[in-house]
Amino acid sequence: MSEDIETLLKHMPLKAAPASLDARVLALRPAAPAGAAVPLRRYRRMLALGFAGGALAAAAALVLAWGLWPSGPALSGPPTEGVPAVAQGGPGAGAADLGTKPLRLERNWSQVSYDGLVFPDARTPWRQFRQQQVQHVRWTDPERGIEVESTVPHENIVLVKAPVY
Amino acid sequence: MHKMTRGARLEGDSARTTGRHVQETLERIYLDHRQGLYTLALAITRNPAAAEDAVQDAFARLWGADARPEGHLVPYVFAAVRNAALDQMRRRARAAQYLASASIYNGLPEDPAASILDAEQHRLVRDAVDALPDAEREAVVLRVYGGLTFDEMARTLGEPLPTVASRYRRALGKLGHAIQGITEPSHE
Repeated sequence: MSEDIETLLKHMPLKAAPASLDARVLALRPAAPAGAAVPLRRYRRMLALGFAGGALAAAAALVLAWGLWPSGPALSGPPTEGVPAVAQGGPGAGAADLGTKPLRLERNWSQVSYDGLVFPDARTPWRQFRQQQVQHVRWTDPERGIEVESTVPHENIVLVKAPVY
Repeated sequence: MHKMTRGARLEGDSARTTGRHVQETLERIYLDHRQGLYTLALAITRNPAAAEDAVQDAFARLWGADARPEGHLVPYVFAAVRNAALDQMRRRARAAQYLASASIYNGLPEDPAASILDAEQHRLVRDAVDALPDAEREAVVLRVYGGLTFDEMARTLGEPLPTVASRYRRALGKLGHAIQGITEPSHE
């Protein structure tokens, strides 16, 4: 009986270790080229900062191009006015100094799970999937000593008609 | 549990262990056990992203450590991943309260043509494993998916071998009860 269960368990389809894990783990080897290692725990944060930084750079380039365009209308204000963003600079801001500037960090967790078969009309089988997401946003302004956090959960139920043989 | 010493001496290796040798051994252990290590982390955190972070975190600590246990390193690596996963659990407590637990299994059988019966069998097994107490689920993962012996499991968990073995058998007993009847028909 134990062997049966072990065999059954071994045939269950495991969630595969993601390919990105290899890169993340093997890059940490001491012999890895300098700069290949990803700072721990900051990996996702850096990724988010990287995306946000890229978005800001793209926005800045757009603003510059817009302003330099001969017949282009003047902008009424900076595109991020009133919105706390990553390393948003104040007057005289030079290179980004994350230690003193307002900082907005957003992290998202999501997952999809299978709940099994459901029969809404008592006849047709549907596969029910549950999609869940948690958005966590943290905004800090070290200069003024302000810190705001929000955590927003979302959940969607998706039904997929199951084939009947 | 492990006796720590500077400069690892690996079981079965007569050559003096150098830092590079340990590094290669850790790399080999990772490549040989990556699925088992990830599954263990996922069984503890029940979150794929946290599991990935835990494995990375563990190997960063392992490669950065200047002291390692004497003997076989596999249980030591599994223990490091387990500790990192428990750390991740504490760190992500806020998000975890809103997320349902992720299973270590895929949502549906890999075969797209699997019948509804197969899908239901899969769901029963998955739910039975997910419903196990954490310690018993860890024992199942270490044994079935990590491929560890009872001795290695005991060293990983830092508990006596008889305790770990009886916990594993208790878990199998519960699974057997939960999925009673579905193991009888054979499709092969």
